Amino acid sequence: MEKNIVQPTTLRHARYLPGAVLLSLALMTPGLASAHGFAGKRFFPATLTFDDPFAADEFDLLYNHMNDVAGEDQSVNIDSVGVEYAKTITPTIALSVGTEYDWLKFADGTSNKGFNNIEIGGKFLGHVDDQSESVWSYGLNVELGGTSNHGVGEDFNVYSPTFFFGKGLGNFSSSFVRPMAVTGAIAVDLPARGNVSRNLNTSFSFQYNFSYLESFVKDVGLPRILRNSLFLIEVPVSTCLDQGCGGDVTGTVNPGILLFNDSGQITVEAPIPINNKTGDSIGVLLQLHLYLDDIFPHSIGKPIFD
Amino acid sequence: MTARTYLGVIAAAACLAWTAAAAAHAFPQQEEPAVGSVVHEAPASVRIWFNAKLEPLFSNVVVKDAQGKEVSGDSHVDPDSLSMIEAPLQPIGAGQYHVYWRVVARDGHRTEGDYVFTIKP
Repeated sequence: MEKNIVQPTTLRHARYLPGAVLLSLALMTPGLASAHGFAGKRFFPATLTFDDPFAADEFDLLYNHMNDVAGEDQSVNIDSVGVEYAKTITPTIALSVGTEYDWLKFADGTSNKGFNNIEIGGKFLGHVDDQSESVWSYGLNVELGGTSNHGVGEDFNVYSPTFFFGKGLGNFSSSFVRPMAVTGAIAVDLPARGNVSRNLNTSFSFQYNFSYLESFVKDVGLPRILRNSLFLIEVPVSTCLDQGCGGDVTGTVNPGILLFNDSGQITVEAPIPINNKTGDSIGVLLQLHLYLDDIFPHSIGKPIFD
Repeated sequence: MTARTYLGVIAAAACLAWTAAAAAHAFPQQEEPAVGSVVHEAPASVRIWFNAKLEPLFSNVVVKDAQGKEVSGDSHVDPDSLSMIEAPLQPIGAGQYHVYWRVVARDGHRTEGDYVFTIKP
């Protein structure tokens, strides 16, 4: 369950990097994203750069590396490792908590590292339609200002209401199209400090599910390891709304491959900046994601109130 | 411990949890006849293998012909592996057939699906 890749992080490094680089950093330090679930026979895995529509019990570990993230004054190399835990309260309501450890190396030779702010989130699963393979939900994420160390995070809260959706294309007649699905999240970052810019975050993923192809459309004889896999492209984009940066757009296009089994998933993506304001280098995202509802279905993996 | 050590411990615990999973959502791994296939002889049954053990009481497979008429008998889960479900077929001729399955894994999670195969002598 966590915030969109392109939000509170926008503010985390404000004391080091002004202007457009804040947008870039927001995209390059993705934080965490999770959730997985089914709509009918469509399996929606957890994406890396933004949250998916489902409320679920899960644990997420995400490594991010990106060099030469663009800035007005200087570029920065970023490494981060994030962790997140999400817990269902009821089958349709989940809460989450997470943080990340950041290593920042600036072009002028200076550096900084430390735990970033703690983030908490709540999500309500609005509707799942098995027939149309569609799902939507909404939630609120809060970055708790002042909970970081070494000045890595900001000292004010950021509130991010978000709308999530997912849609499988299994009802299309074309055998080529039916394994495809789209998920997305639309969020607005609302910092609790008046002179800090707001951001509109629009994120999408395009998924080609080889499991769906093999199990429901056409057995094309893929190797076993690919049978439980997806090819996906995530596109997180952030638009600065005010405070002198209105209209500035940053983002990445992240092609990747996701392998899943009955206990979790491993995903690797290569974020490619969409413009110079975002950066000049292709990065790496590596995720290990555990489906706690599947691993511990009778204890910590089930809702507190069934 | 340093931050790197903390993160290493977390990663190790996550890997252990990954390998500790015993039963979960059941995903199909193989089907007979194969999904979307064209076969030249009528099969005696439809069989589907999963990557998790199933609850026999709550798992079933139904096969229907192009007119929607059910052509399969009572399905059953293989008592040895508990991960394969089979539905016997009545004598059937040429045509397209639709397989509908719904299974419940041992942990209570439900998955479902459907696919077609064609008999073309």
